[in-house]
Amino acid sequence: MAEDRPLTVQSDRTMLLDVHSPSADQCRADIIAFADLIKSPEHVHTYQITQLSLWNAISSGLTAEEILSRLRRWSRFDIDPRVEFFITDSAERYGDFILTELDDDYLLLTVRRAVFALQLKAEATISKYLEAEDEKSFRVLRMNRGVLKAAMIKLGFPVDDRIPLKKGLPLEIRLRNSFTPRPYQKDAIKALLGDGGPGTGYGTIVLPCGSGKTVAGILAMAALGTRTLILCPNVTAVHQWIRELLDKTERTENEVGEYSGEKKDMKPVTVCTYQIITWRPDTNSPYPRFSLFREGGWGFIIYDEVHMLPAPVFRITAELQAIHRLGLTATLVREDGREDEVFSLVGPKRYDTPWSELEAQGYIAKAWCHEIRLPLPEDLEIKYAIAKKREKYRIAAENPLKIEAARKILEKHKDDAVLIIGQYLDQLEVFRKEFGYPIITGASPTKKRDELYALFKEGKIRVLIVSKVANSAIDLPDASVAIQISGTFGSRQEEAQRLGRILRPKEKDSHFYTIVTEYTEEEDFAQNRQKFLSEQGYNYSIEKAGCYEE
Amino acid sequence: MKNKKLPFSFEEIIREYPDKVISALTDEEGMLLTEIVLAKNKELFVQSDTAKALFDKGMIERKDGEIAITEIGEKAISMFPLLGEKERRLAYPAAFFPFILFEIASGKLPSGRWQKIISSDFFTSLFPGVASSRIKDAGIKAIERLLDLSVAIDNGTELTLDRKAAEAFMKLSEEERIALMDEGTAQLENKALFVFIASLLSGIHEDEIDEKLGLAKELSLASIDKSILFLFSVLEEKDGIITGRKMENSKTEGFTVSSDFSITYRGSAPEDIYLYAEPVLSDATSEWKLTRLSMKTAFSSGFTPESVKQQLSFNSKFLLPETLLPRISGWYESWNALKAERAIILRADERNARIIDALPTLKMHILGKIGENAFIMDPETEELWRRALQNAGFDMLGTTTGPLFKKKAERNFPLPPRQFNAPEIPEERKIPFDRAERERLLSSTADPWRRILIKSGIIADESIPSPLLDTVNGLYYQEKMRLINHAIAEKQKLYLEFVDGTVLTGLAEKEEDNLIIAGKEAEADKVWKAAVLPFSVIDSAEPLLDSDTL
Repeated sequence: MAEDRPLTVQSDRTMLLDVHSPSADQCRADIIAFADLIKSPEHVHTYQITQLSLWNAISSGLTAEEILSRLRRWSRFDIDPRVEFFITDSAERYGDFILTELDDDYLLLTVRRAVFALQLKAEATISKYLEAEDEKSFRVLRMNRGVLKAAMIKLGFPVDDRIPLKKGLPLEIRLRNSFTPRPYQKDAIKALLGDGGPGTGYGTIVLPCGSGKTVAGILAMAALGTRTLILCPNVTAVHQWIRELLDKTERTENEVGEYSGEKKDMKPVTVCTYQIITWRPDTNSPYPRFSLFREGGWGFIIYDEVHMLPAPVFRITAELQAIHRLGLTATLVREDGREDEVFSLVGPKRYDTPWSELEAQGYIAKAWCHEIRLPLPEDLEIKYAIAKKREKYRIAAENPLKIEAARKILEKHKDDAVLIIGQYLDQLEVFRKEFGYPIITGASPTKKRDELYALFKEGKIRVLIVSKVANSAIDLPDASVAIQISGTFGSRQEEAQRLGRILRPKEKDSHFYTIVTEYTEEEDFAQNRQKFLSEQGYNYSIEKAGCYEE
Repeated sequence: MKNKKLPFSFEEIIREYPDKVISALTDEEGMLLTEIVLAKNKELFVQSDTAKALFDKGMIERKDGEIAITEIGEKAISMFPLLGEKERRLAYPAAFFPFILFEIASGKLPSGRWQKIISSDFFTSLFPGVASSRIKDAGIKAIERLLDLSVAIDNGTELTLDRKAAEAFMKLSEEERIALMDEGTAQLENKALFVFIASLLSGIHEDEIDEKLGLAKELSLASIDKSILFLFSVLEEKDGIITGRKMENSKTEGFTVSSDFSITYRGSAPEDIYLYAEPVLSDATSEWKLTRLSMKTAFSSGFTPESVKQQLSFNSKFLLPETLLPRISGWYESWNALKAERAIILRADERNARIIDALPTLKMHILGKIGENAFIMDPETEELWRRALQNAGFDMLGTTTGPLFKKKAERNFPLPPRQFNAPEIPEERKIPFDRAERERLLSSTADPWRRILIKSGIIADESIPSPLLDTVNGLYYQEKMRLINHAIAEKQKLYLEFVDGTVLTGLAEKEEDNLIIAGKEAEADKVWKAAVLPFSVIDSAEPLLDSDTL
């Protein structure tokens, strides 16, 4: 029998993995260390080798020879010499720039050849951080460690950062025996922490919504045993983290602090929001709460939903290169294209797993996606035809016929916990008036939100109408149906996050409905929104709104 | 060792030692076998002594008057060393022509400006394995030739595709398509064979390429311009070494349609894929995508959602994503909602208009009416409605005027049907020439006759006895000379054993009283034994090394 070689290495350095091959799992385990998973539909998964993915692999101990030998082992075809050159060349360049300790204020950047020093000096975005020491080394202020590395990576100069991470003030975080970590959570933390040497201890873990990213974070905390700061996108998420920490570790309420708009309570484990940390009195002032990062004796920072990391936090994160860092996300797709900055400042992607795998193993709910198509009412056709592009989208998104379509879906799922999710507050208000279900928007006070979420979880409220505040970081374990009535144009990340609200594993399958006005701008945007999930192997069934009529 | 007489027909030896006999075939013999496999006119390659020996050894045979390689002979065929060294051969970008046809079919190439689009970074990036300047030139050349061949038509506004011609073009083998890019007049099938042989070349120094292409010409009885081979990536040069690219002539393999509507496959493209899918990448694996745009092309080409699905199902190795048909049907509805059709306006006076309106034979050709006396006529059926009008007495209708519609010129379709099917040539011999075994056998005997038989590949195993020859003793001078003279006249090989024990074999010539055989001059008087040999015994001169004799 011919040797099983499930991988095709393309000349553009993408790699196609035939997931039905008997050795697909072994192959995946071999290549994931140096390639990023780009998409994982049901038959063929696509990985990409990038300079960054190679440098990350090399920084954690892989060699170019090993990478090439793995490729040759699995590749069905001869590998293009340009791909080989790219790998060996990238590997050789790693080590051209080495960052080491110098003194209390400065680090030392040493270059392999004098000509590299000249190159660095010629780059304005880099030279501003450098003070020449001799012809092959520079002094670098400690605070510029992250920004310098990020700027150098952007220009193709990888820095071999040999400064070990600081331990932080020790803190024992014992896990309770009441839960068993899942294998992929343990693997993810193993990938993050590595052998503890230089180049390990920081990075991003990508796991599907509902698969227990928080638990992965808690496992990392327990492994590191140090003071930890956790940043979240909103207060509800802060409360969820605190609940999970109390549930999964032996930390008590007094030992876990909340630092939010509501409370300013600093503890050895503190959970706060991005918003509170980036507050400042006016747009020209510095960020006074950045001191929180510097003064807590933290040895570990967790960036929850790292795809939402606000720009100012990029800046402070750049300063915190000596601390263990973990970014958690389900969808590292930023519509602003700043994924690379997340990777270079928080840390590279250390672990990623196809959604379909976890679904098959029962760790996330089986979900069915439906696109419900309905026409634009006749009285809006002319208005739509003469409207500008953006207005067109809104007219289509707020199509009043969506109310009836939603009603039919609600009737079909009358025993299920349902979320109605929308983009436009006016539209959500119309739905609230029509159906009488409670609503949560950005304007709802946190207390009110928490109350409603709690009632929903207890089953006392069957349907919740929510705006984009519930897009992510909200854990509603029993929700099994989501009806998306409008969204942020073509945001792939939003679509995936919204599906994520109903992915907690449960007895029954979940259903995600997106109601779309056919033959309008909304149809095109809907297709773009669905791209990420389609690439994860989710199929959208396409149904006419009429099919819900009895 | 048993001393029994063996026939030279090899039948017995092959029956007992098939693998040994094949392993005793030298690389030179293997090369000739391969040439015979590849040769357009095999008769030209079976005239040599080596070829005659191959007949003797049962490697080739005459079957129904044609030269054929036997089953045993096939095991000694290999591309190398005949076509060079076994260097890494990169994948040929098999989707090149379908990508080009897509560009034309989708109406993306405006008249006079299409070169710019083919030169764009977008187009060249579809072929990451080929230098962008080359793919640009190849694209332009291909379209120019497709225009020459009437596969593409420049209608003055844009390039369009002649569907029938494109269909015939795609039915050809890839080698024939490339051969069509050359304007030479040699037979297409032969030119395709030339392309095929060129694509097999490997590791050829650039100084030797003309010699190798000369061999290809000799074998195929045709040639095409070397520059075409490089332009269309049949040959690739790197550091002065030229190697062909692997052209997969196999059927489409691993055709997969994923839930994100991406299509991947290896090998040759499904014939009409360019009509319903959009190119993504042409490399070791070809990648396409079903998109709204690609479906527009499909529907305009007469596909329906159902027929697209059928095409995909036919090729696909997995079940298609469930959502595929509904999605394509949705696109079809959008496409069908609004159409622009070419028309001819037929103006009549009031009376004639009344008649035309009432004529049943014209009804099907009238697309509509503009005002009282003007009809919109179907231009596609102009011939029919003209005839109907003529029959109705309107024989004075002049030629159609105005710039709006140009009737398609009838084309004499010039493309022949597919004739070339690439022969299957293994890269390596199934059973390689065993030099070590030959050396071992040679060292096991000093008997000159046995040594010649070992060198001839007749004694391939120690247990094979040396066949006894029916010799004429030198004592019978006249009989001996009769045999020698007859063999010389009939160009038969001779066995001559001399008084000193030396054995010479080969074709002999007479020079005065001496004989020239196996490059040696010998006195006929000193021939001790003489016999006639089959061609499978090589020309050789073997002195007696020790006391062993026959």
